[in-house]
Amino acid sequence: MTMRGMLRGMIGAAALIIILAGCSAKEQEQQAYGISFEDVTQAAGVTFEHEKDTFDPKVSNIYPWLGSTGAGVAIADYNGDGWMDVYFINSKRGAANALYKNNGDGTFEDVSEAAGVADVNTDGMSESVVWLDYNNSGYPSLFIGSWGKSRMFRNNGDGTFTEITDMAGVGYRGYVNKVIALDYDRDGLLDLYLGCYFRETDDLWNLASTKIMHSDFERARNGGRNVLYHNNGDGTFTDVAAQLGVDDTGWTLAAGSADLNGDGWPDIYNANDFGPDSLFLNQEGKGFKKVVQTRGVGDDTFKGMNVDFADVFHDGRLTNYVSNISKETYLLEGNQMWHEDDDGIYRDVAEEMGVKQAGFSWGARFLDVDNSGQMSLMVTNGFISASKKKDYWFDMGTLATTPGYIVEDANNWPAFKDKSMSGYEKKKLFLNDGQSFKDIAQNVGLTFTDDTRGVAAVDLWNRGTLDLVFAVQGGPARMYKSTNTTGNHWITLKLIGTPPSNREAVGAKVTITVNGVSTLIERDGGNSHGGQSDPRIHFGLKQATAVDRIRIEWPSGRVEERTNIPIDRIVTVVEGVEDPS
Amino acid sequence: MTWSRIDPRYLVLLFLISFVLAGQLLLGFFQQWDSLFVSVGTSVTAELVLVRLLRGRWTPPLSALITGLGISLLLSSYLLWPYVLASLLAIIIKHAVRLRGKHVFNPNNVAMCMMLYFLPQYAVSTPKQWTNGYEVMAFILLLGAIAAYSAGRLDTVLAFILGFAWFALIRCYVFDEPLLYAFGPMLGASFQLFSFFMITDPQTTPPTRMARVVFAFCIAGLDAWLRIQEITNSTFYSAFLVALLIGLPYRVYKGRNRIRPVSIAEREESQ
Repeated sequence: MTMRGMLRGMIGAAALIIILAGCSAKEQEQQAYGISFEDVTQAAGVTFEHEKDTFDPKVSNIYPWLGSTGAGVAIADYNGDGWMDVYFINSKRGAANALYKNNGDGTFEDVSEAAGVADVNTDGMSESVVWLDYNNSGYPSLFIGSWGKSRMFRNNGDGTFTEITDMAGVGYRGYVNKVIALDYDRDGLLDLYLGCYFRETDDLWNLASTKIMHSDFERARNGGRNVLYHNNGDGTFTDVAAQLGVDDTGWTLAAGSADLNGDGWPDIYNANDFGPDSLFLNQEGKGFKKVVQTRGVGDDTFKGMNVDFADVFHDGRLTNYVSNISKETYLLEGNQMWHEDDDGIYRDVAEEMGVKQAGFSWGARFLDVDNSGQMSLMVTNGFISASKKKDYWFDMGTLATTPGYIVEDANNWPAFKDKSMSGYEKKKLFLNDGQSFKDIAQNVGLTFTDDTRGVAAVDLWNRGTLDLVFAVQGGPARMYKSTNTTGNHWITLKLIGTPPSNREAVGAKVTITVNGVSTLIERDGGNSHGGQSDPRIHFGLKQATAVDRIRIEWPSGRVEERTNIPIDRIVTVVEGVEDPS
Repeated sequence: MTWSRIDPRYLVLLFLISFVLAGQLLLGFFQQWDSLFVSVGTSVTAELVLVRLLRGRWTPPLSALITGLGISLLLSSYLLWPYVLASLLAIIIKHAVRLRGKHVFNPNNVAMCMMLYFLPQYAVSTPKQWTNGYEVMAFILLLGAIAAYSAGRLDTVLAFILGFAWFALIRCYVFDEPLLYAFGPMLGASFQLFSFFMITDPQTTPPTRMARVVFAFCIAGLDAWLRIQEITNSTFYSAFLVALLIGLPYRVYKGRNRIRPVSIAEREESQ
C-alpha cells in the first residue's frame, strides 16, 4: 500500500468513527430518561438580569475578562414558610441584587427592596453569596462576598434584614469569588471561608499598576489571600486564616468543604485558577495541613473553577469534582474527578467515568436528578459569548506560551474587543447510571447556551424532584422546573442540629442505606462555584419502597441511626429527638 | 573529542531527555510518563519492524527514539492513543515519503501537523511556559545550541530566531500587537523546543548555509502571516508548508547528492 493510500485509509477510519458516534447520539436522543426540564423563568415571575461592571480604563483591553465572573444564586427558606427562596447577586456597582420569595404556587415575588437586601453594591460588586444561620436563630442570614467590600445581613426573622458588616467585622475588602459556611472548629457556630482571586492590595477601579494578573498559567501563587472568619459567638468574627494555614494565595475561584478523610472534621478544598489546587485537612479545629500529592491533588497545573463532593462510588469516600477548561485545538486538560484509593492517593477518574470534557466549565453540582439513588452531575460552562466570528483563544494560546512576568501585566494582553472565548457552549447534565456518566442535557430540555456561572439544585415546589436555577453571567437568570416520570421513590431530610451542633447541621454526614447499598451525603455550606443549593438532603430510592436505615453523624459528633423512616416526603430530623416529623 | 565529532543525534537525544526530565520532575508537564513510554515504544517498534520489512535487517532505532521523545513532548492529549497514532504516523511517513533515499519532511513535524489539523478534539500542542524556571531554561537552551551546532544547523536556529524577532516587530508596529506579546513566545518552552529540534534535522534542511538561512527565514515569515491570521500551531504548519512548497522543489531542482557527501551519521539516520 502506498503512503497516500494509508493516509486515505486512516482518514476514512476517522470519518467512520465520527459517523458511528453521530448514530449513537441519535439513538440516545430517542431514549427516554424519565426526566425533563422546562424553562419556567417567565412564568415564575423571575426577571433578574445579571450585569457586569467596568474598571480602570488602563485595563480596558481586558474588560471582558475582568467582567467574566460574579453571577451567583443561593437557595434558602429565609422566612421559614417551608418553600425554598432564591437570591441572585449582581456584579455591577449600583445594580441591585434580588431576593425572590417563593409563593409556593409556581410564582415568585421580588421582595429584595422590602427585605433590605437589594442595594448592596454600593462599595463594590457582588461576586459570591451564601446563606448561613450564623447565630442559630432558625433564620438564615446572608453573606455577600464582593469585589470591593464584602457585606453581611442578619435575618431578623420577620422578612427583613439588617446589615451587620462593620459590627461583625466581616467587611473584608478584596476580590472574593467564593464564600462557603463551615463549622471548622465544631463549636456550634458557623464560620466563613472566603476564596479570593485578585490581590487585595490592588484597586481594580483605580490602578497604580497594570501588573494585576497571574504570574504564570500553571503555577501562579500571586492571587488574593483567602480569609477564614471565625465566628466568635458574640456577633463578631475574626480572620484566622493565616494562623490556621489556610490563607491560600492561589487564584481561588471556588472553595468547598467536606470531611474528606472521615475524621469528623470539615476539610477545605480550593479550586485555584492558573495553578495547583489546595487541599487542607483539618487538624481537629486547631489548624489545617496542606496535602500535596505528586502529579495529583495539590500538584496540578490546571485552571480550577469549581469543587463539589459526592459519594459517587457508594464507598463512603467523597469524590471531588473540579471544573477546568477544555477547548479543542487549544487546551484539552479537562475536568477532574478525584477519588481516594485504598492507599490514600487521589486518582483522577474523570475520563473513565465520562465527565472529563465539559468545555469551559464553571459551577458544577452533584444531584440525584432522577431519584435513582445515583449522584448525577450538572455542569455549567461558557466563558465569553460575544462575536460569533471572532475568537480570543488564539490570543490566549499565545499568552500561554509567554513568560509569566509578561502575562502579569495586563498591558501586554491584546484587546478583547468583541471577541468571544469559549462562548455559546452547550451545558452538560451527566446522568449517572451507576456505572458511568453520560451527558443528556440536550435530551431533557437544557438546551440554552448562555455563559453560566452557577447552578442551584433545589426542590422548589416540594415535589420530591430537583429543579435547577442557573446564574447567567451578563444575562437573565434561568429557572428550570423538572418533570420526573420515572416513578422512583425519594426522601428529603431537613436536618436541625442542636447544641453543640450548629442549627443548620452544616457538616452533618448522612448515610442512607437502600437495598443494602449505602450512600454518604454531607450537608454542605454552599459548595460549588456560583451556587448554593437546597439545604435539605435529597435522595432517590429508585423502586425501593423503604429505606433500610439512615445514619446521621451530627457536627457535634453525636451519631444517630433511624429506621422506619417514611418515604416520598420531606422529613424533619432534629438532633437528639427520636421521632422525625 | 570535539562536539562536531559526536553523532549529533546523541546530543539531540540528550537535549530531549533533559526536556523530558525538566517537564516531569520540575515543571509538571501535562503529559506524564505513560505518554512518553507509549510514544517511544510505538516509534521504536515501528522503526524496527519497518526497517526489517523494507531492508531486511535490524538497525539501532536511535532516530526513532528521538522521534518518540519529540512526540511525547510536542503533543498533548488526555488519551494515550493519539501518542501512539502520532508516533506511528511519524515513522511511516519518514519511510514512505522519500526523495533520493532521504525523507522529505521532518517526521515529528508532519505527524504533529496531521494530528493538530485532523484531530483537534483529541490532540493539541499544549503551550508550555518555563514557569519562571529560568535556570532550567538556560541549561536546556545551552544543550540545544550544542546539539544544533554539532548537527551543523546552528545557523538555521539563529536565522529562525532572528527572523521571528523581525516579524514580531512588524506584527507589533504594523498590526498593533502589544510588543511583549509579540516577542513573548520566544521565551517559552514550545518555541525553544521547536527552534532547536524541529528545524535542525540535517535530512530535511538545505545543505548550504545561505539556503538554510533563507529556509529558516521563510518559516519565520510564514509563521508570522499565520499568526496574523490567528491560526494556532503556526510554527508547525509553517515548517511543513515551507518544506513542501520551497524545500521540496529546491531539493528536486538541485539534487541533494550533488551538493555534498552524506556523513556516516546522516546515512544511518536516513535509514
